[in-house]
Amino acid sequence: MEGDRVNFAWVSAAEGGRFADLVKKITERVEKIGPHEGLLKKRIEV
Amino acid sequence: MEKLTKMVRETAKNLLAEKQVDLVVGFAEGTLPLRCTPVFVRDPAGAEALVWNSSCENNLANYLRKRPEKVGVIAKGCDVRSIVGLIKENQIDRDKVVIVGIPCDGMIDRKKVDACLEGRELTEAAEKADSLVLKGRDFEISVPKAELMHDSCATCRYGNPVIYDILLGDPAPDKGEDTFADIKAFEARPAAERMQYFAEQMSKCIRCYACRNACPMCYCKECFVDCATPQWIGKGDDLSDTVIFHAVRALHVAGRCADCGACDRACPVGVDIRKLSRKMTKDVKELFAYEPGANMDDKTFLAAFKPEDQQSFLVEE
Repeated sequence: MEGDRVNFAWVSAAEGGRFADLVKKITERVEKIGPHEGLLKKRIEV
Repeated sequence: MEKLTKMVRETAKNLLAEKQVDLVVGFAEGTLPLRCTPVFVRDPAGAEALVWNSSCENNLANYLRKRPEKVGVIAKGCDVRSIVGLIKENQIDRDKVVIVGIPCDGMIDRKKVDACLEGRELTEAAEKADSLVLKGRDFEISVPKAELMHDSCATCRYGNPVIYDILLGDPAPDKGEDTFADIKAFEARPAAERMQYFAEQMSKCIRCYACRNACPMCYCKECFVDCATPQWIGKGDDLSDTVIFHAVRALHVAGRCADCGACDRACPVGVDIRKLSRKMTKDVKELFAYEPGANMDDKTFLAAFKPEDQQSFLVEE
């Protein structure tokens, strides 16, 4: 797992603005990493 | 060792005869050399079956959870650490268990013994102070015990029971702090190489769950791997499922695992299970200065909160 893919934050239910900012930031970060190719189940090819 | 066996028998006999306990959990000679097996003794005469030597490797804490009767247990250092952990988690009632502690210098790894035998059959093993004499048809070899120890015993710093009601035998030597050299060396390797190592190890796993069953800390009534609604992970031997199983198990025992190595010993295919759990042990010790089962006073790692706890895992804003 890449270091930036898992993110922890402590946000209060009252901090709506901060929550939105955080999610935006994390989404950008994860998009930059791209799709995860490590632990994936391979679909059986028919 | 014979002296210790005698002491164990006598102690167990007294405990049962004086009705201090209803049951003694200890070890008896197995059907093959170096294969001592856990035994439950309920009457004083049965205490003669008990033995003590360097193949008493199972963690007996596994048999003590939620027992209705008063139990005496013959426990080495790692068993006692697990017992302490289980007492703190309310799985063992301290008033209902009599701990007969035995200082331990390490137990013998049969896989290492097998390597010395080079395919020959072992019919008898005799233990000396520092060596083990292995005998079979047409051969007799003596191997230093230090070369045959389990890896978990080599890194163990708690050979002496941390709590006990009765202590038998001489104290084990102090080995100083665990340096976690093995884990540090592994951490230094590149991520891809580490993943490769785990993929190699975990692809051996047959998902028999012997590691979970041997673990004294794995006592959930329904384990996440057995759960069907929701089914958290697939039940086959797909590598991604297997890695998830081992990763989640390592997280579940984080800060609880006493690194007794029972999982490693139980594994029939030799998966390096301790690599993950020991990394957790190292992190918990370094970040939170907590060692599972090291004493009765510390609150369990996950039950304690300090304002100065590490927060380096939180996302940067």
